[in-house]
Amino acid sequence: MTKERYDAKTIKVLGGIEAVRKRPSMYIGDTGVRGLHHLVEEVVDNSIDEAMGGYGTRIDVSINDDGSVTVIDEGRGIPVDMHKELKKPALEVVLTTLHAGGKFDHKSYRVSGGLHGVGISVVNALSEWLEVEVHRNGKIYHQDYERGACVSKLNEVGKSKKTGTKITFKPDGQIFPDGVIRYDTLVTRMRELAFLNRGITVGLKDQRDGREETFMFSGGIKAFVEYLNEGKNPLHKDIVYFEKEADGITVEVAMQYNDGYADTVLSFANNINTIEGGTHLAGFRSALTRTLNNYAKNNNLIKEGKTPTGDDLREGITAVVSVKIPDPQFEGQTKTKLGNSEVQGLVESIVNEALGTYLEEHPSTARRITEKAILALRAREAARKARELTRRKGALASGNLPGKLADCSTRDRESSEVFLVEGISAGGNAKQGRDRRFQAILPLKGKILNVEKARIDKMLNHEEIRTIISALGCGIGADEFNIENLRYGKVIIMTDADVDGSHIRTLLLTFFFRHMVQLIDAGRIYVAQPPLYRVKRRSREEYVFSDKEMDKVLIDLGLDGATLELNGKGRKKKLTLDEKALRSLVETLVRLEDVHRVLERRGVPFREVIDYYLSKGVTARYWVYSKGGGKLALDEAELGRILSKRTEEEEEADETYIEIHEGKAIEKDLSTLADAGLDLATFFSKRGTREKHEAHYIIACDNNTVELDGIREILSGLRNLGQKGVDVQRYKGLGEMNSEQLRTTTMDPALRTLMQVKIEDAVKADRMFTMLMGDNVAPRREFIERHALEVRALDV
Amino acid sequence: MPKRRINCPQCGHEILYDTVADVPTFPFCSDRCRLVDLDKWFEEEYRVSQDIKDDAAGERDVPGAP
Repeated sequence: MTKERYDAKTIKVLGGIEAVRKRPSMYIGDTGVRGLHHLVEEVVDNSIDEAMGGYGTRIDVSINDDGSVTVIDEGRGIPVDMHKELKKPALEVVLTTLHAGGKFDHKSYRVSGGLHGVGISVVNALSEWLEVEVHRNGKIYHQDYERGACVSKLNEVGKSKKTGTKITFKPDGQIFPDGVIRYDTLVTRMRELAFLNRGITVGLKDQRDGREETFMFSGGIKAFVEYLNEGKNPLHKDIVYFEKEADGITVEVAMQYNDGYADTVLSFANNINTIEGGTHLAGFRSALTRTLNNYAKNNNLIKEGKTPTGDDLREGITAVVSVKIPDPQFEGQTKTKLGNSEVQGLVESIVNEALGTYLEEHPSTARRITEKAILALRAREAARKARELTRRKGALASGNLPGKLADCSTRDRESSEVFLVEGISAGGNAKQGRDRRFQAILPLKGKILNVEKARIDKMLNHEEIRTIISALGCGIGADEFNIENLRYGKVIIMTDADVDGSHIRTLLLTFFFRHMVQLIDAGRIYVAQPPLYRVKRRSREEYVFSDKEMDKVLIDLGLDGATLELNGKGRKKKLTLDEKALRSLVETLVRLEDVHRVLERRGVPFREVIDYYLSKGVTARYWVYSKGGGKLALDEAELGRILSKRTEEEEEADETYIEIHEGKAIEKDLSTLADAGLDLATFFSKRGTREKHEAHYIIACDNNTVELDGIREILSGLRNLGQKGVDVQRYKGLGEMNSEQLRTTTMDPALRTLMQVKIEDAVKADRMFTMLMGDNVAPRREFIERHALEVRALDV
Repeated sequence: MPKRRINCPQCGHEILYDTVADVPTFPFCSDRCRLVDLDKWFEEEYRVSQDIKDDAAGERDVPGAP
């Protein structure tokens, strides 16, 4: 301790230091964890400033065993020569004087970070002790301080070939109740500094536990964005990056979109993380919004009135905006909001230009970013509409049901049901045919559009969707849907039995599947089963619900009192089958008819299959295609022989042969027919091979007879017979039935059948919908043709 | 391992499930996809098409049609 310290000038200086110790929060924000670590950052920031000025490339920070911290840089070293006005070494001035240092005239440092120029003197003031070592002028200088006061002279302690400053300090326990420096807190900032200051190496070591990390990023903030996006799925490979300088201000931006929904935009001014944002962030945001929207508009990527907002456009963005400015002004609660107004316009115009150019040069990236924003916009819109719909209903619980709904009178949910009826006239019939006590009717009108006179599009317009949602009462969307609020026990879809009806049904089922799947899961959704035909014979009336059933009914009617006779002419043996015998053969004949159809569709002539059987007593197993026809093969050996003889042209054909799996079944059915006395040689007509044609069989019933050319015509003969004296009406639509018919066939719970929709049915409807959707007709038609059988099975 | 699988109608992402309740956003992979789809219904973008001349494909749609 020397007496020189106590002169007037020193006292003035100490006054400043005492002010810091008295109100530390004014200088470092607080005396908690944040303020404590600020001390380290302040020292490191000075080293960064040196490095950014081109002096040194490495900074090492270590947390020592005793809780002190050492920061070493390769800068010029704090000057040690005498300060002319204060008559003290400059080093001592810097360490003991507030607002001292080389940062205020922009000569030593063009831009600098740190705690807004309060400087290292604050760190010194708040440290129990501080040691500084300066390598400069080929020498090593050393000086000690305690609680901001100098306790030793500036001593020369050795020689050195390098330059730099080494500061070790111990945060004062009197100031910081929790004075423990945390590695994890520092490491984030050290990494950040290495990102923000491209090419500079920052090392951090914790002597207490040996943890150690070194950061150096030649990619700068580009690498920062890459780091922030680690583990995420980027929307585009390359990181958008640009750096520009204007009016002494450097603007650096790196950004990349990922497929997530969060936005991570970090902004920095002179290396300070401006958590509260400020003018640079505002400039970036408005430029981003404007540039992306301009691009989207110019390239017709967005529809009129559907412009994404800034929030939409920032969804999934990871960006770092870093500005370096000579005179930063910080505002806000934590002094982490950049206030320089000139920065906003500058950042905005730089980002506008650079991002605009980037988008023009990378159209696919631009498209992806825009499309993502449009999805964000759509999701936001849908959520809003869903909310409005549900809230509107809630506000007027009983009174605001759609006007078209003819509600039922009961309030008992479980016993009530609502029919979603397609078509206005059908809706009218349904209203008359219902039991108004528990049956409600909601008529729907599927909108039909004629597109370019080439095809017809059917859709549910948005008013219909809203009407359905309101009528059901259970709301829609993640937050708004509540199955408890469903107003009916059963929701019954009732559409015409034609193509239009099936399309509307598919639309409705898909909608329920996608947005009210819980209703399906709970077994609340049903499909009404209106009849396809009304069959009337004498006084008997019958409704038929499918074509297959209709076929059965006709055959059944034809069988009534019918006998089958083999035409006697030129035959020794006379055969007569009575109704009972004939009836027993129907199943076999239907099966053969089906096989016939299937094989013919696959290009196998059934006649040849039968002839083969008649001549060889077995059915062939393969059909080999050839030009203009084909040939049957008994087994693999014969197949091989035929294939080996094919011409070159035939070998190039797509399909060479198929296996006839049905062979055994055909054999069995044919022998059933033979056992009944039918001559298999008369399976097909021999018409045209005889000079004078004679029918093989005659079916007789009452006064009607039908002549048949062969066994294969027995079924059609029966159908013909069945149709005689019968009135068949095909219902194309619900509107063709009167209300009483609709009630007794489709609506009355005692008489109707309903199909309960299962998840699997809805999955099929969704697949069907997806298939019928799309604008590209040709592939769709191809799909339908290829999966013709499947499509039929899909229909629900 | 859930037995059943379905593709998100919006993005095509595969979803595995045993019961519908397994996936809160079923049949979508996320709330985002569900909302985007919902907006398409509201905006009348979903329609099923039928070629005027393409009667064959249409007729198959009738239940049980031969």
